[in-house]
Amino acid sequence: MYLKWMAGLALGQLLLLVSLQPALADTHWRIDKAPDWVEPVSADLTSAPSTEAVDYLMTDSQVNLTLKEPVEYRHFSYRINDSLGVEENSDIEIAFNPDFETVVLHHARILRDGKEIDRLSTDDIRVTDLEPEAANRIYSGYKQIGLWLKGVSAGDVIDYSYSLVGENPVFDGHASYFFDLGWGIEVGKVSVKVIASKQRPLNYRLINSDVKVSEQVQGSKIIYSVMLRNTTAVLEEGDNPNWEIIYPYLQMTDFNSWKEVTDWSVALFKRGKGKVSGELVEYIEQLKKLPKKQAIEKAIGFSQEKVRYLGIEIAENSHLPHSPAEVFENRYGDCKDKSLLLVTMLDALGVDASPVLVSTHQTKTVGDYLPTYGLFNHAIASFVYQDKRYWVDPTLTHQGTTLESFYQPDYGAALLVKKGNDQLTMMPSHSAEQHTVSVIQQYHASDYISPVRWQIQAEYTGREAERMRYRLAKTGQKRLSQEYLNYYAQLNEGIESLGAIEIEDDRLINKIVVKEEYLLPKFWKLDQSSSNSNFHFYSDLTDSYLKLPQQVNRSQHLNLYGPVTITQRSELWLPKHVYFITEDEQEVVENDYIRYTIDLTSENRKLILSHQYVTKQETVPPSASAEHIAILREARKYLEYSSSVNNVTSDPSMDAVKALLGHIHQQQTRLAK
Amino acid sequence: MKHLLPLVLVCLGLVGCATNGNQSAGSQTITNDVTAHRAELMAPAKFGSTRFFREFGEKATQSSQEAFEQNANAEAIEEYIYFLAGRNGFLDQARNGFLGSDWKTIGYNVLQDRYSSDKQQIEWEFLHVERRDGYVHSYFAVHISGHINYLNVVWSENSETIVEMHKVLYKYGELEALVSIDQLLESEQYSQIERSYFRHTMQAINRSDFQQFKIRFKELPDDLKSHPLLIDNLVQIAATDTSGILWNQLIRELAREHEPHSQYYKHYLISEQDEKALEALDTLPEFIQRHAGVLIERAAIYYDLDQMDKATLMANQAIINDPYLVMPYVVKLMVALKSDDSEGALLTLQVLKLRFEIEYDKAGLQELEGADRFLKTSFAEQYFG
Repeated sequence: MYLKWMAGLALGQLLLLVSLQPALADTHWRIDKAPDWVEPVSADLTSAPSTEAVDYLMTDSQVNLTLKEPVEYRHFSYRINDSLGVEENSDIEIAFNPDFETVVLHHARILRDGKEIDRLSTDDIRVTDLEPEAANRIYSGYKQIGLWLKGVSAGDVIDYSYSLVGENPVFDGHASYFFDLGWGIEVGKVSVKVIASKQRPLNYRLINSDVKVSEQVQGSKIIYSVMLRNTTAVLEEGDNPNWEIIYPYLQMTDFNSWKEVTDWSVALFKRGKGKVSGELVEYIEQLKKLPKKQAIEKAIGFSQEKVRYLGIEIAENSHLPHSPAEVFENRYGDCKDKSLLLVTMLDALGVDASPVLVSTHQTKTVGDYLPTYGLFNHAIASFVYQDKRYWVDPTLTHQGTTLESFYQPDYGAALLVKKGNDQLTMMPSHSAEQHTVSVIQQYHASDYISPVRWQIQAEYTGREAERMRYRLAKTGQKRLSQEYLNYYAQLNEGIESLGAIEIEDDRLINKIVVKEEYLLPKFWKLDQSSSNSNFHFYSDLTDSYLKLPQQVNRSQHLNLYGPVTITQRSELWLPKHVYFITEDEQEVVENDYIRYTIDLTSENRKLILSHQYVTKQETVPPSASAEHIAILREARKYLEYSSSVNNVTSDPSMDAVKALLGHIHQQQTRLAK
Repeated sequence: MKHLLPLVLVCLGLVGCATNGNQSAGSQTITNDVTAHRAELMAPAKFGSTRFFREFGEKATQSSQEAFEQNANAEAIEEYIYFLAGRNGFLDQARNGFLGSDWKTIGYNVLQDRYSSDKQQIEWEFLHVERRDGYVHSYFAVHISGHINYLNVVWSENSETIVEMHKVLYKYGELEALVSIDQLLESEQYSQIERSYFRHTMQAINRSDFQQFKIRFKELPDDLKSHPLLIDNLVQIAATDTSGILWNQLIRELAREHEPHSQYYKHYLISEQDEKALEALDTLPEFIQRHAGVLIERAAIYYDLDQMDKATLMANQAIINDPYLVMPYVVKLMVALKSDDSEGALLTLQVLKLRFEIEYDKAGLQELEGADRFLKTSFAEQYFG
């Protein structure tokens, strides 16, 4: 399942052309005039061209819900200003669901020098498969009509319209729309009109807009309409949280409450459940022989690791789950398939479980919108065991294997698909202490000129352990060793690996430890003139969390990766104790969103520099972004540290020790292998 | 076969053998000093800092008894004893004193006795510090005439004074043992007569009176015979009582029955239980396992087992970890000679000469296994000319 509400309405869709086939006008599309109920809206062609590649002159969306089948009429008009505009905007592409929808093409013209050139030619139309999420193993069955316009030149205006007739029956006649009221570029005229039955009026809500929505009653119909002129371009600043909607929308739906959405989804999952197969019953019987907690953990593991992710979301299965029996037999399914299978198994074990609808985009802000199925793009499962509610995403893999340790994602406001439920439930939020990466880097020096052995131990917990476990599985230990070496080679000239990385993985407590060992020939930089040996630490791990955003002057929220605690500790193990000038210093750079600590200490024969980055919030609001950027700049000043040990050449045995250590390092490397 | 074992065992202070211990290259001053930094170093060290413990080590090297007396406080010791008793759930009874005597005096005197230095050459090397429950645990490698004792000197964080000494090889600290004995002797878990036998058994151990010990010991119930307190005392007395053949025989029997622990280390070696000896070293704190003293113990075991690759790894690691101690180089030399690593032997001889001013003549070198072969190589020519 993916966000349907954006797919049909957004400009500039990226499309995957899987195959090309000649147009079959009688099955998927036809050419006909615009419906009579459509109120024509025309573009203003007199405006002067801008410096953009394309000027959008007009977009018009008109929906009629009072007919036997809903009809969505679309009309676009844009002027192409230069060769890039010609390159990118000369093809008309219309996505549709061939199982339920028909495309009616009304017109396609080039307007040039006051003349209309008709370009709606049957021979130029192709129907292609459209599977934009095939790379994620999601197949929707959507198709696309392509009309490749001939003879387009800079200065032309492209003007076309079409209607989509029909809808997916899985929605049971419900209406749910998000109309764009603004775009990434300026638009001369934006028009929206929806015709609904008076008996079934729509609820609407404006998002990022204060435009007036007109409501007119005409007989048995209500007509909702919006007209905007010269809308400004909405620019994404990047690094935004998923939930932040920066474009203006008009949301319309016939749902009146979350209970109605729940009722719709309960019926859907009930229909999807089907009959449980003998094999599944047998498997559940095996689970029942285990202690209940263990049985639950095994059921979760089965849904995550034994059923591969494959979304066959064709026709009604866009939202209707496949039956657990089918999923169990096929050993594949998408999020709703896996969730229903898990819920079925947990039910059979006597555990109070239900599917859950969530939005990975809107997350905690789902409640800010009108109730509708159209907000949700993901399904998970939830259950109660020993008075505690758990949330399981069966599409995740490589998780901790106990109820105490596995990562329960926080998708914000969730809708429990449970009869009678009339509200959203907030999933528990996480703390930065639950998800940690802690790296200790020990530099073992036996003098002040020889190569230094560099031992690195990275410990991952919580979500970070699961990410690392997945990465290891995906990349492979050998290739990861090579990747690590290549990475460190960029920072440390002449680095040598002293062996493959070692992994200690404990899925019971969801902790993974990665150990590496290298030789750093150029750690010490001897200054012959001063007899000083210089060294340098760089906190590369925390650096990656302190990067400035793409846009620093912000009017939008800044997303912070997390919650997470990142610790990087560099320890220089010295041959003798050295009293450094500064060896006991702590700096804290902190605001309401992050805390960054730099701690320089010394122990016996050790100099220790620790950096710690802790998130305190998930996002930085626009009002605080300037202060936050200043904090990041301040913290970044501490990423590098240099110091030196003096008078190192006064040791008469210096060269002899260096020679012996060189011999020893070679022996250690050879013998360790 | 020439054994490395007698030479190296000294490092854990379990048998007597002479080497020059913690000799280090003393002439080199390594600081990144500036005037202000020097001034800072002139100021009294802050309690708990690395400099504080290093300076304590220097004082203890001069006189451990004086170092103790300058840093001890009887009230803090008594408080620590009550802390231990409270931890054992024994606080109310402990307030009656040790078998009726005043804890403050007993505690102070026991520690004073343990810190009293004899005339031996001693050097205290500070290793590590940890904080737990309001007390600061400072760990030292104490090089005593070729032995290394690993000591934990416990300090009260409040009073900043010494409240305990714990030899890390053993299970109990000095006062911890006293409190535990007091608790056991006042416990009603055992009959009056059993407690009496236990008391007399412990006294016999402390007097090194094996005959009396045997009489009392056989009357003890089984669980008291293997009580950790009793074993801790037994192994300590056997380590210091050079005439303790009988003690050692007894401990070897006990060691066979128990999980490997560093307190049995010597007894595993004597009874040729090498694997258990290595496992016993594994029970030491990690920072002590990394110390050259422990690494060369391991090297020595592998040397005697003719596992020369492992012996080389351990000797090398000892040099890497503690390049200013002489013993790792001595062991490295022996391992290199036995392994026919002539280049390694030459390089080690040169460091011994330049860093520690230890020079070998041919006759001296020939005492070591494998030296005959080395002396026929060009590497030997480079060294001897």
